[in-house]
Amino acid sequence: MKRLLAALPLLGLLGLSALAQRPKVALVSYREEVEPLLKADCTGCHGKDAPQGGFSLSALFAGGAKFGKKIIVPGKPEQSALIGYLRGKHQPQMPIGMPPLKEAQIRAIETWIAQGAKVDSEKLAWPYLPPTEPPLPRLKNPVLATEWVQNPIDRFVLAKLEAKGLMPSPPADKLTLLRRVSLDLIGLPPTPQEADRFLSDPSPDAYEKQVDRLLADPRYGERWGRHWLDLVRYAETHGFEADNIRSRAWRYRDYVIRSFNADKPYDRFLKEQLAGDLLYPQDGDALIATGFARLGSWDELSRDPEGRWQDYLNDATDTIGSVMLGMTVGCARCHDHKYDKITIRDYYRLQAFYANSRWSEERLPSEVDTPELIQKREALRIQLDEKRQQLAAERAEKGDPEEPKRKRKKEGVEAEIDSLNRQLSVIDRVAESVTDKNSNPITHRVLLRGNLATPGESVRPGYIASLCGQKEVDIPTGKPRAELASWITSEQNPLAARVMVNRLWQHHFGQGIVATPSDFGRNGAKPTHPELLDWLARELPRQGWSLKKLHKLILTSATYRQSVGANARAAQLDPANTLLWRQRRQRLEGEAIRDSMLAVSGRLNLEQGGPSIYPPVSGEVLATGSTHKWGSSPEDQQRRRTIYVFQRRSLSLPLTEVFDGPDMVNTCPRRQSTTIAPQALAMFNGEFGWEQARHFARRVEATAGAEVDAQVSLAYRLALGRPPTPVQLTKARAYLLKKAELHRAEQREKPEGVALADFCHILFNTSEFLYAD
Amino acid sequence: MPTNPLSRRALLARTGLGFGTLALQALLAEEARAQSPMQPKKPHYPAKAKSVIFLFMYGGPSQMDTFDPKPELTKYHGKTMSVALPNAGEVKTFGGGNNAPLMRSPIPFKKYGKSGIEVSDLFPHVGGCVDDICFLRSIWGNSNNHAPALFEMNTGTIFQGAPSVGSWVTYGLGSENQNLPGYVVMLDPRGGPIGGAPNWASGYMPASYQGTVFRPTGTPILDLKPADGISDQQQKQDLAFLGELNREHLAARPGDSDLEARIASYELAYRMQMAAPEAVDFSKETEETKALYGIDDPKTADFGRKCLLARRMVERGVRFIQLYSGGGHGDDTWDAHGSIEGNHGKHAGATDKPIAGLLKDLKRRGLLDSTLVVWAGEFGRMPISQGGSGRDHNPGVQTVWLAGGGTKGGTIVGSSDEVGYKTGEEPHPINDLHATLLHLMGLEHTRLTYLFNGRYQRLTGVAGEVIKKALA
Repeated sequence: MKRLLAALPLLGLLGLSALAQRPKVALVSYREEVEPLLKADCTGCHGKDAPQGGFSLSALFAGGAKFGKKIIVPGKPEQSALIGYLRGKHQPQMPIGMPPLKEAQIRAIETWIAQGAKVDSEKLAWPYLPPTEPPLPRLKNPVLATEWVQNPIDRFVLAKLEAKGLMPSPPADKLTLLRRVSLDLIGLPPTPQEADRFLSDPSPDAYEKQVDRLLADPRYGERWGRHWLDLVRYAETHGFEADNIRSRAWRYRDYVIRSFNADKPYDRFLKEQLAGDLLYPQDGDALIATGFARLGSWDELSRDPEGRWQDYLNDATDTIGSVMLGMTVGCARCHDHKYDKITIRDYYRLQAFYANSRWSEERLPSEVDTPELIQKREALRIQLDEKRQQLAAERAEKGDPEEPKRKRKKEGVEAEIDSLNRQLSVIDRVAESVTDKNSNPITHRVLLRGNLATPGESVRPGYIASLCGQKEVDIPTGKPRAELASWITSEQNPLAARVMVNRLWQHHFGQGIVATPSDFGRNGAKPTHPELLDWLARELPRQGWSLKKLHKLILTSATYRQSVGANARAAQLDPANTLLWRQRRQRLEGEAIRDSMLAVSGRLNLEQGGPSIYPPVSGEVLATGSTHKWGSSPEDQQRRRTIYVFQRRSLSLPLTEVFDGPDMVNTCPRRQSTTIAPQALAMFNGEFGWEQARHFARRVEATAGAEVDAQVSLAYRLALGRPPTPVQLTKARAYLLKKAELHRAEQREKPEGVALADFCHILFNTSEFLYAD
Repeated sequence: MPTNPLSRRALLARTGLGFGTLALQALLAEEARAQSPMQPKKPHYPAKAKSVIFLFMYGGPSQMDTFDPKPELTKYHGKTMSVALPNAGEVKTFGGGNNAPLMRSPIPFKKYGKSGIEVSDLFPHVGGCVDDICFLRSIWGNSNNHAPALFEMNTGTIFQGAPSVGSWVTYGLGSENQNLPGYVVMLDPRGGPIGGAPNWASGYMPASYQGTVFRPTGTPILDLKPADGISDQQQKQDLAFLGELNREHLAARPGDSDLEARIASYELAYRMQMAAPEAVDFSKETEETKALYGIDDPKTADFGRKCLLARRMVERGVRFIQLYSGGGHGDDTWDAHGSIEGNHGKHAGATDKPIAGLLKDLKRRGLLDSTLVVWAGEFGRMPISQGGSGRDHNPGVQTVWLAGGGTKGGTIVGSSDEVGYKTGEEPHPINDLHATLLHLMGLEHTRLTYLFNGRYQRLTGVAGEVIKKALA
């Protein structure tokens, strides 16, 4: 075995010379194939700063010798020391302390050297170039082209299917489609009345009318706003030790919901968040929006304020990169990006836009004070002062030696302070904003290895050069963040529109055209339908950046309306359904599950906005933290939509957490969809499910009367959006009978009612309830 | 039908179908794991340890009063740091009092075992086990603040949001018992640690790998018991009917592995309802065993129960078990700002016998060789006094110890400086501890990666070296 291993390099070379004789060996591109390997595995030690062994990769082409060996001898891989070190012919084998490069990788480098070790000029390709205007593809099948295709999206999808010899799946039936599009757009199932209306509407645009209705529903913003909050790591506490409350954070959440509901143009939406204070200073929403940059976690007890401020700048920079550009900009914080065309200089130039920023609490300009309001505010402030003094006195008495500022959230004074802060946050009309300290020209520094202690060159604000045709664009001084906002939403930036249409696509189809929605770089997934992605990215600005128009376009496509059908041939040819020969089945997120249960039980309180609410959380869960973490809300408030549940970084609502809720610290571009036993425990044993099941049963009894068939039928229609089949009805009847007997034997009151609640509880636990077809 | 993952994998790999290779691999790996995330997986190389019991002394135990005797500190007692260590520079404490005098340990030390390793009188029982313990006296961290320091010990970084060690281990290895969670966390009855759930979260990894909080008494897992008034018979009937509906639903959607997994998850949940109470049921343990863990003494009963439960979980194939001593704040934790003697006396008194009992019990059952026991806090403490009898936080050096699982007993690795302010010889960052832990589990820390945010993330970040001297 050893001998065989030793012979491997030789084999490689033999293979190479054989290759060299054949004329048709594809040229290995230095930029595409060699440089990324060197960057990923060598520059860590052999970079410009303090290169190990005195060798820096920048000397690669200097033709110099190292330890008597030439690093690269063009045309002669066997004489090039680089290969010797990679293959372990020279010791120590490189890269030191890491697994050796893969055979194919070393072969690529060898081939490149054998071909003369030429450096090709750096070419910008997707995604660094603006979207093209692709021609609409021609279709082979004239019947499908005229009868299936609803809009250009379908042409792009069908063309790919045809190229593979595949057919789309038949459209979903009306009830399946209505449930799908309702959960998709508003996160709630359709009511039986809505289903009836749709079924009895024979007009050709019946479905389109449903889409319009749902897009106009204010619950749309609550659904799609949540997707955005996932991206921007939204939470209402600072995280870390004290995890104190940001009592006005909810204003950002409401701003997002309002923006989605108003169909605010997406470019304006981004501009407000990047530079609302500079561009629209008279608009309260724009001031709230700037808080985007400071939504990350914040260590209140840090003894290193400078480091903490840098952490904030990094977090803001990384989030802008991931969320708005779909690039893993954060990788360039310590060194040039190893895979994408983002340098460390680019990183700190981008960060420089925020280098002069500060956190400020801004009065909302459009609000009008009334004398009553002012009086109420003052009264609250006085109360707050009293409580704080009381708290300080209690602490002094107790003699807490550590962290005098720490707020232990215990029942009592501190809960009262929380409550007063909540009331005040509604009427003090202040936004947690980000503004500039002054308008002086900004100078910022590159931090070598991302370390504050090792500052490098000075930089001024600027865009990522590779996104500007590899040019460093000069930014006029004055309001740099406003410039950034304009550039990000301009046609010069190849990414903003692409990234956002891909996010819409991801939620509508369960997977984006680019499956890694915040990574369009080399390590991300390649687009399955690049032309379609570009076409949509051009369509968004053409439609005035209206997201609702894009939704409608996608939702009314035949592609979206397909069933989640089965097709043995297609499943063989395209098992991952990359080409969309059918729709994808999606599991509901925790929020949609909880909200749907409340809606079905008839208990959902649709009140919008304002300070967050606290549904009950069991003591066992509260005991997992070091501080008292949770407040209490009146019963009717506990039944509001999940987006209004308090977002504490150190404690999530167990039901949403167990169904893969976001961690509220990292940007979450795509929820995981796990299937684990604790989900079954939460759904089957959890108190919330039982409580809603009992209300659900009561609602069914009240509406359908005492007749069992009518009860079962209504329960099915409420929970699953369809009537039961005759077989299901028979089975349900038998089950109810058996359970009623059991409860009668247990001497329970109203055994039939209890049995109905059992049945409703089971419906909540069915796969059909938890997934959308 | 897309039922056969192999055919799908083969096809995807062959055609590429427009995926980037890296992303493709990641998606396939994710998919394979999503099917049954906790199925046992092969390590990178043969493992010494199969399970980990991580004893977390939350609050930060003092090294110089427990396992790192400092005669020089006695000598310089009452002097300032600059006298003992002229090059120490300005001492940075957490709570102020940077110029407070050095303070000798109020606790005497004794030599134990064949190795003659010294242990303070706070841990006489653990002292009896020194020949099975490897003391790492030169571990250092990056924060003198509880939350970031806890995150670093638990996740490898001072920032919130990274997966915890137990998540990495179960991500890499799965678990041997599908009827119990693979990664279990037992908290102190006085509360959880600062930072809460992020200390055992799976961060950017799937929720399958997060720690499950397990209570040694009552209902071990959240929502484990059927709701009030639901009899076992009723639950069985309900589950049977649910299964019927779900199978009928699946039959119309053949080959959907998610739906199959959903049905299986209810069956697993039901089995967990049996398995978890069985694990916490000590009725078959002998009185001698219970006494060994100190369960017969109210002072040690709580931690003793947790230690015994940890052993029972190891026997049942649970992969990673973390136990907290200390909960909430202040003197309910090892955070001895006020009095080392009072605070540490209380916490060591509650844990010394149970920990020693655990080590002895594992050993006599032949489990110690395949079980790695880790003892650590989030940081060490200062050699200078705080308020005359306490000590402040000190991330500069702490003692962590390992036992079993392929570690070398009766050894000391590294040292702190003369007075225990910073590391002395062979300093090891917490990343090295994690690299070593993974190594003992058969995982190479540079190869255990998870693609997130465009990077192959690692528990050890860009650092970490296996502490070779700690290996048997």
